[in-house]
Amino acid sequence: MPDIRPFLVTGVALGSIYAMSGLGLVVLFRATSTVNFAYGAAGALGALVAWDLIGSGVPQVVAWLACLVVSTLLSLAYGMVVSPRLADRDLATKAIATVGFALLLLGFGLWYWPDIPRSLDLPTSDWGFRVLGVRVVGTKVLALVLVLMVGWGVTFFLDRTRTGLHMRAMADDPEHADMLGIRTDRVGAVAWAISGALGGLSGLLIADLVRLEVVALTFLVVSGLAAAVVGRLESLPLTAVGGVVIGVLESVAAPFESISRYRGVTPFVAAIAFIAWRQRGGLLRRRTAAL
Amino acid sequence: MKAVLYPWRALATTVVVVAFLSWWMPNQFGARWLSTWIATMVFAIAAAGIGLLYSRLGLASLTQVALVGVGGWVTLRIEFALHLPFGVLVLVAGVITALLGALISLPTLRLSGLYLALVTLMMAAGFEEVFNSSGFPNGGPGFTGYQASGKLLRLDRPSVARSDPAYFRLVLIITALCLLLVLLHDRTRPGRAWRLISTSEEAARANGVNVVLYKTWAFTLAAFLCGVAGALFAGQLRQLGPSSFQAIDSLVLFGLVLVGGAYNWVGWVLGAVLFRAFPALLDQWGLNGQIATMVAGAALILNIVAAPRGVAGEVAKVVGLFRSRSAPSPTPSGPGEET
Repeated sequence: MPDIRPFLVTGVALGSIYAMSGLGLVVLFRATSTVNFAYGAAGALGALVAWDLIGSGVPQVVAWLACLVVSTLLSLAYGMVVSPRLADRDLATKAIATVGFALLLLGFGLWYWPDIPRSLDLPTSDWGFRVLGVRVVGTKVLALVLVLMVGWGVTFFLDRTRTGLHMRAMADDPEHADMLGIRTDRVGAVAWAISGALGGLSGLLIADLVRLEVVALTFLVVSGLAAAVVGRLESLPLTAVGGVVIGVLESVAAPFESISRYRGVTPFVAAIAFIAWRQRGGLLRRRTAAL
Repeated sequence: MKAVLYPWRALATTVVVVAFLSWWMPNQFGARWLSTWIATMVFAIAAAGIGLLYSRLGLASLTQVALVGVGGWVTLRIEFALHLPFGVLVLVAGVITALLGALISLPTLRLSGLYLALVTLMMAAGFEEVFNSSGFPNGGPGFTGYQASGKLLRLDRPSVARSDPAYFRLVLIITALCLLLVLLHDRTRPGRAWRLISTSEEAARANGVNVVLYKTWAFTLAAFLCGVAGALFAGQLRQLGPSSFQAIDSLVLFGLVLVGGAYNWVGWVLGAVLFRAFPALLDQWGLNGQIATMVAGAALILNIVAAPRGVAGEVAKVVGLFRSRSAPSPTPSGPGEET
């Protein structure tokens, strides 16, 4: 049996990014009942802008902030221009409209930033330490710390702040929330902004840990969705755990030669298997009927 | 006029149009454009499956181009193992892909529109990974039939359609047959069942419609079309690669079918034209092909916000001509409205 410890560490880091994407998607879905397929694409454009800025000599911190700002603004723009017009459409239609936004951003990214190998190095990658005889790069720790912070921060925000309360009200019943005088358009915009910022953060981390490539980053959303599906698109803790577990499974498959080539399918197989599993059994049947 | 049971006029029109196109197109276009048009028709067949699922049942399947890849994979694999005649290959690829479609539809039948879109997108991403890592058969050993080097095998076109113009005519005829096959369903029992199911699944069940059977039927038919398309695509290129069947392609084709108009066969063809011929046109003008992706995205958003029946639907509204015959339901029904 090969030594899986290094892959375990990588897996936790990768899983943290999946988890963070999943959190960003769930927060948005809870507030606006929109599954945002453009989540990864917005993060990708943010990371590419950061790459450009670093290339032209802008201080790194400014470039990272620019990444977050770009992805937040893109997400917000969609949330303020298109999303309100679809408020009374069904869930699938809302999701499909974001596919259009994803294609728009992806096409722009591929057109404006021609396909050359890029990577973005965060300074945490120069720093590391040894655990259990395995060298752990700082960025991997950063990913885990960030996802814990994000998970805690979002939970705090939803449970303890006024906007968070409004968001939960909207999640339960947008029409009632509207009647109670909650500015649903504004609260929705806040959710889009939060989701966009998390997309940018995920984009930065993926660009450092894996690679900076528009299509790959755009499809990060699919792995994030896998995590979100494990959290039934509503539970933040389950989403986080789901993301980390999926990342670890994917990474640990790497040293086993027979399955290593196919390890990329882990998030999708896990999510599909989870959905199939939830369909059976009497306990969950009522819930499943609502899917 | 509305309930024409024996669509002789439709058949006659099809024969005339096919005959005209098979004479006119090969004369009109050079080799490069002819092969673009062949690819366009191949994806029009797949687009018919997307349109069928979306317009008749309100289901968004985001994995159809990946299924075209499956059809192509099966075609090449079987050809190099058994050397069957091309016609048999097309049918076998269609049937095997259809079986796969039935298999993947069963666990998804009870899902709502949103979860179906999620699951099918994940399938598309999963197929992409598998295609990327296992490659397409080219005469190699083992189940995957892929080899990085050595004597690379290629698929032979049938002897009657060896040249590009002849193969164009063959694909044109098969495309017309596939579209007719789908439209024929509207006039028969499955079409009525689909219409009832898309209005209300409960009502359909109460009326004795076997919902599972007819939903699976739709998925199976759509997958069959993809399998046929994959076989024809393999015959056109004679060798396939994973780059043609990425998850992004499934998304783009789906979006373009909606832009073209999912409720109308003209819209399916238009979607395929936007998918293959429009990028080729941009390329000819010296523009970046990615502009096509951007246009597809913007058009999809615009379409969903403003014109749910797509370009073909808008044109039909203006002309008021297709409407009585081709559009099955008078009101646009988005996916998942039964929830």
